[in-house]
Amino acid sequence: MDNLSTRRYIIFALIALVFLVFIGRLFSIQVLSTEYARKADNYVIKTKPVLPPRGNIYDRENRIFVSNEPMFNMLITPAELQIPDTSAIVEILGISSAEIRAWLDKAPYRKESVFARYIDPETYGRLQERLWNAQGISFAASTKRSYRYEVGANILGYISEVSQAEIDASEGALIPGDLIGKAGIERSHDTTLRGIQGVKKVLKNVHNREVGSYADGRFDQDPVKGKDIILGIDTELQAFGEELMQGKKGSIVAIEPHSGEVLAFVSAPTYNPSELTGRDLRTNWRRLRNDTLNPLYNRPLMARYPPGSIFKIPVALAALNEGIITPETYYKCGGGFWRNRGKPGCRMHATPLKLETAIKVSCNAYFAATYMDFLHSDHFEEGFYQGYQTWYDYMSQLGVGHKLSVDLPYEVSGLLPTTDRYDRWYGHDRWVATTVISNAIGQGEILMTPLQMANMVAIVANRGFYVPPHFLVAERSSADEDWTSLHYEQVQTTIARPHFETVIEAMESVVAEGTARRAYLSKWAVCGKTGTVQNPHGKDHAVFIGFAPKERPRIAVAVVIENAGGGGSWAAPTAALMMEHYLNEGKIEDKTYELQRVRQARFIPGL
Amino acid sequence: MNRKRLDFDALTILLYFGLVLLGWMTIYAVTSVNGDVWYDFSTIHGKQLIWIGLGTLIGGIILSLDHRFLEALSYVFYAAAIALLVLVLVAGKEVNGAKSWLIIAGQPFQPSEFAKLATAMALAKYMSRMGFSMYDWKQFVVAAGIVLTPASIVILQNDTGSALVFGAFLIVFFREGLNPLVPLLLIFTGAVAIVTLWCGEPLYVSGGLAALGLISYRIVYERRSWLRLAVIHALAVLLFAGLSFSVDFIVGKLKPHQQIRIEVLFDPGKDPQGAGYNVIQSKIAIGSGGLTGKGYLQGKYTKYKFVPKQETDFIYCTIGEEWGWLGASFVLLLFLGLLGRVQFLAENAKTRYARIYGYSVLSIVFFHVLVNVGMTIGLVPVIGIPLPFFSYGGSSLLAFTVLIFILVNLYSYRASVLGSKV
Repeated sequence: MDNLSTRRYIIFALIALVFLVFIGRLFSIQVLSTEYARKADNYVIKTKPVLPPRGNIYDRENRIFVSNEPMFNMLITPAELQIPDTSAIVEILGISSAEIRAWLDKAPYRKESVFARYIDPETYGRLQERLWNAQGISFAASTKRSYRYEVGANILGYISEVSQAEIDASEGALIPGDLIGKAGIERSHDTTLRGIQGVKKVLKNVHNREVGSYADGRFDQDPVKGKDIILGIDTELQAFGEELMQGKKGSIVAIEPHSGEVLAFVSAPTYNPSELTGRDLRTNWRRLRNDTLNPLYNRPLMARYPPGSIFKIPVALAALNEGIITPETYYKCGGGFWRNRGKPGCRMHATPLKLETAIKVSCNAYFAATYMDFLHSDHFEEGFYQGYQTWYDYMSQLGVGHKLSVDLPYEVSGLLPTTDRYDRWYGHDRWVATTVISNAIGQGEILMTPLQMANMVAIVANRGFYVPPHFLVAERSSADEDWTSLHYEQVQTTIARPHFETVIEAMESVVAEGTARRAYLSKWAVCGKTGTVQNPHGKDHAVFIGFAPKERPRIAVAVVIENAGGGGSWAAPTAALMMEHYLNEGKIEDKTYELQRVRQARFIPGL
Repeated sequence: MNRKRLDFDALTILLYFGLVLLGWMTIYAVTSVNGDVWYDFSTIHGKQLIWIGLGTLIGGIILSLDHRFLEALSYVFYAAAIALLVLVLVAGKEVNGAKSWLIIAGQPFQPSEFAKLATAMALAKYMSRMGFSMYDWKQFVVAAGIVLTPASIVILQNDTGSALVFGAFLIVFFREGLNPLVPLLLIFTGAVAIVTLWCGEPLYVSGGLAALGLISYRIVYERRSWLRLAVIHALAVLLFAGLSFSVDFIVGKLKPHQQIRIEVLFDPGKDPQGAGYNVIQSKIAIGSGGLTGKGYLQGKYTKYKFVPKQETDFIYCTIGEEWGWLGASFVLLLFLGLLGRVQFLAENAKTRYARIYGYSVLSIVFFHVLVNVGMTIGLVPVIGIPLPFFSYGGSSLLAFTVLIFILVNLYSYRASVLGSKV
């Protein structure tokens, strides 16, 4: 028995060994390893983004342009879903049972995800009533963009949910479900308008249900509201412009010359910005995308046209400044450019004629001669190439064929061919002024956007400088703060002021007694130039650029109406209406006849 | 009555109440919701309070009984326990796949908990009779039968976990003179199986066994019987190598849920949503406690039910999370203290019955702690048996209470026996 009673020590030693191993194991997972603590936090603490309200957009008169409307999102956790009354969803939201099932099949089972967006407060109330005893459903506050004037869709753009590619590119700034600007101002000023996401840490249980705030919110971060912004747009003028462009394809761009602020930016045909908000966004976007009239196409920014006769203005300015011509230089017309076997052709103007008359009657022969003398001028010691390059530089200064870096996405540059480009087309030294003579009258290879046309006439109105055209004028962080104006640098051209005065005198006579008499306003001196752009595909495009009043100009306008024919008959009166509306505080008293005429005109075939 | 009044072992009773109190506090931490009062008897912690009161009452009654009365009733209890186990087989209620519950007066009741107690008493009774010897073949078979009969019925109930507890009686047999080779071989068998599962390549294990055989032969080498010794060693190596090769086959014979529980022990990531889930979650809960824990009632991880069966089988997680390494180790040391004291009582009790019974208590409590705590820290496969005094549940708490208090009762007579001798 003595032998057996020693076994007690073996037994206790074994038991003690087991406990020692356990304590050691506990030490390793509790004290030595931090992995488990980290995992526990990940499971228990849920970091919820708190979305800031997007900034409001105001117009130049401080009228609210875009604001936010309260909405609700409906979230579902499939694992917990119990709906005694499924018909509520079907009836109220108009989502079929099949769609619900399809969504449930795709959604993550244990996680909460957005089932339906943009439920308005009234519908939300009805849903709440019917779904009071449902489980696994929750609602979260959200907002929708709301448009007071329902104009300017091409300016404002729209917001929608981020794509995976955008999330990947944002380096953590965006998460699934975020709304970002996809076009227009909403896109170009997205970071300003979006604000900074806040963070809320909440405790959750194993069912992912929130059970309270973490550490009394000590680690929470409040969201920073998106900034409010003011655009230079005059919403009334914009609405008026869109009304004038009903039934037409084309653009109106109006700029305040001394500031570069865009007053109106009409693209026709357009759409109602409210169509690209809320639950119907996708459907409507697809419909607009497939529309043959292409309402999503931002014409003032993206459409490129040969400028036509309005291009005689920059050609004249360059030639005057370079000393090729003076206001008293006479050229022969004779119904065509005689030095190039009558091309380009012209009307039989009283010949010879000087610059002012040439602009007033839009004489092709005069500017062909001017252009040819410019390029082949003797004072370019290196010859023709230097001549073309000098001319090219003048045109560039006036914004032709270059992006103006306006604060809207997808701007195109137009076209102003370089010497290299012509060399590639024709071969080095195998082209001369007569080869590119159509450039003189804006019918060659030159392509301009309506925005560039408006900017060019703004330079004329300013007698030599411009502020790059822009929409954003001021911003503020909150409603309690004052607006901070943004500063834009002036760009000075090398063209001397007297040459502008010469051209402006001529432009005034264009309106007073020339091709643009329909643009005449009795109360303000309007200066302008018409253009009729030959269109190989159909009827000519009508173009007009102009500004008013002549002294201290307040508005510069470019109008392009596709397939409308002569610039004088349609583009000029449209521009004049815009000017009168703006200068006369929204009233049309002078051009009432033209208002009727333009309103009723339809230039889209089959409309 | 030949004992001094109230001469009970205070330390055991103190340890018992200490563990029960900590157990109740932990249950409260797990199940209470803000605004609960601790004495609300409709809550789980409130119900446990009733069980604790009932246990204290029954403990008191047991202490007032004469030890001869208890000894005399051993076989009666045993017969009753077997009858109840059979009854469960016929009329039991199935919970989590095991048919091991009876509903008595609206309360669920698990007879297998009491079968352990009854077995301990019957075994003590049989092995303490005059002339009992472990080396008597027939008597050994009867003693083994006393343990294996309830174990087999419990297996039939599909409650493998509870059945395994009966294996703990091996400690009792060892203490009473079982050839040490038997537990040694069992331990070695287990070790070979674990090593094979762990390294997954029976061939290497066999190589290791051969090397081990050679070394052990060199150590016990005797010139005169070298051939016989060599044959024995060779046979042993072959036997264990055979075992190593058939481990996969044997595991394959287990039920699927048992197989996966063994597999996740070696690789918890294997089935993170299923069998591995409990182990992963309980390790996270315990591991997140750190050195000193998150503080009482601050265990968010266990509070929000990330670990399943939080108030019963996995209650140790809450201790680990809220009280950290210090608290978790302290609880283990309390158990070790209780086990040590139980062994002390067993060794110093003056009847053979008391010693054998005491070792039975030691074995049962030790096995429960080993398996329960072991599974929460990923050292033992998940086997659903409660942590004594901690896990919520009346049957378990009452069974362990009776187990301990009978031993305290038995020990209280040592003075009288001593006195009669002197």
